[in-house]
Amino acid sequence: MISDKHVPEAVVDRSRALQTRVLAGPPLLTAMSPQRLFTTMRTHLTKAAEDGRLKTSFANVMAQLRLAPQGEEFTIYGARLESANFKRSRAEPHFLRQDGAWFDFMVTGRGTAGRGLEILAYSCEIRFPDELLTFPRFVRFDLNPPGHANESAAMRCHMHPGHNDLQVVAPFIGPLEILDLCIHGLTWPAKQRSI
Amino acid sequence: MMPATLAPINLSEFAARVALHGDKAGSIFALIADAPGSAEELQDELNVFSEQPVRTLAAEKTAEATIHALIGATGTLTILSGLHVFTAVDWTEFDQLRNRLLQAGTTVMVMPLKTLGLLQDLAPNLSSWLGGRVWRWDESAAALSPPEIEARLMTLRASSGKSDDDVVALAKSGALPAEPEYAEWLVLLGQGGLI
Repeated sequence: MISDKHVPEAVVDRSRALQTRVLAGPPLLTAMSPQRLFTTMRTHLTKAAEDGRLKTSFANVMAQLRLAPQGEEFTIYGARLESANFKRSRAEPHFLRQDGAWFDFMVTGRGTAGRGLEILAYSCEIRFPDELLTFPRFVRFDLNPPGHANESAAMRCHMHPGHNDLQVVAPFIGPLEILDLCIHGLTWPAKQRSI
Repeated sequence: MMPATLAPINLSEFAARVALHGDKAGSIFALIADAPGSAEELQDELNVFSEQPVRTLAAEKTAEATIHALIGATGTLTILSGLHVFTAVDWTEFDQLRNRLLQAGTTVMVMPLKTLGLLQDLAPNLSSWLGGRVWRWDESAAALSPPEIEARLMTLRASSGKSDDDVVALAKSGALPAEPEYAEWLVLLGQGGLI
């Protein structure tokens, strides 16, 4: 969000309105439980492993997808349990695509009686092979937790296009849509355009 | 006769095994599950994996009517539930009519453990046909154990320089840092209600 004190108030207002438009209310998944969401995500990932879209084996997908149910809230770890991998080391757990892109993710949510699941936060980073010289090294999609004091000073729903300090407003992306992006999306042509 | 132990399996792996088996007339699998809605959940997962159409079928009032509903559906994967209503007579009849299942597609029977016991005792030929294709639905392997939760908390403390108490205090004062990891942290502490 544009929050620099030197920009006109009207610009800040438009930026605030943009955020509201991107995420008008709590992101809900109806008719879902934490276990159900977890199972569905695991099935999509294991199917991708079986189809060869992922180089990560079926067994490793299952080993790296974990669930922490603690009361009503939960976190689904996609190769994120050991490390958030800030250094982007291939030695850390990750899911590897056939084309060399690799990714991990985490989704935190809350089961709400009768309303399904509320997605509270997520973080998903996909990294590109080093051979793609003109590509950014990574793209990360984040949903920050709601309601903290600095929510108004940062975009709750945003992406980082290749740099931690660079944030761009992004739509809310549901957990299965995150998997779609990571498994099937963010690809590149054989001959890339120049920057 | 009840097997000493039934191999545990999660829903994604079970769906993958059934789909991998392919379309073979008269193939039978059994998934032991006590939770209501198991058949519908399995259908969702099989729809991801299977190239065949998948349908659910509740057991009819008699074994003969149930088998009649199963046959003729070659090329279709049928999830058969509601078998707990079968009486001893039904199971005996089902056993006698089992060869008619060769005219059916792949059948996955979803039933509670008690029902499997009846099948094994009263339909020994069907039980033999089923062989080792019986698993117990178990999702517990994906859940984080207490030592894993503690290990993850240690990672979060080390990477942030904060203690659990710091994070709870920040959340209570509305000053929780924006990153998704702080939501995850509160969930692991059983303090997800503060998010």
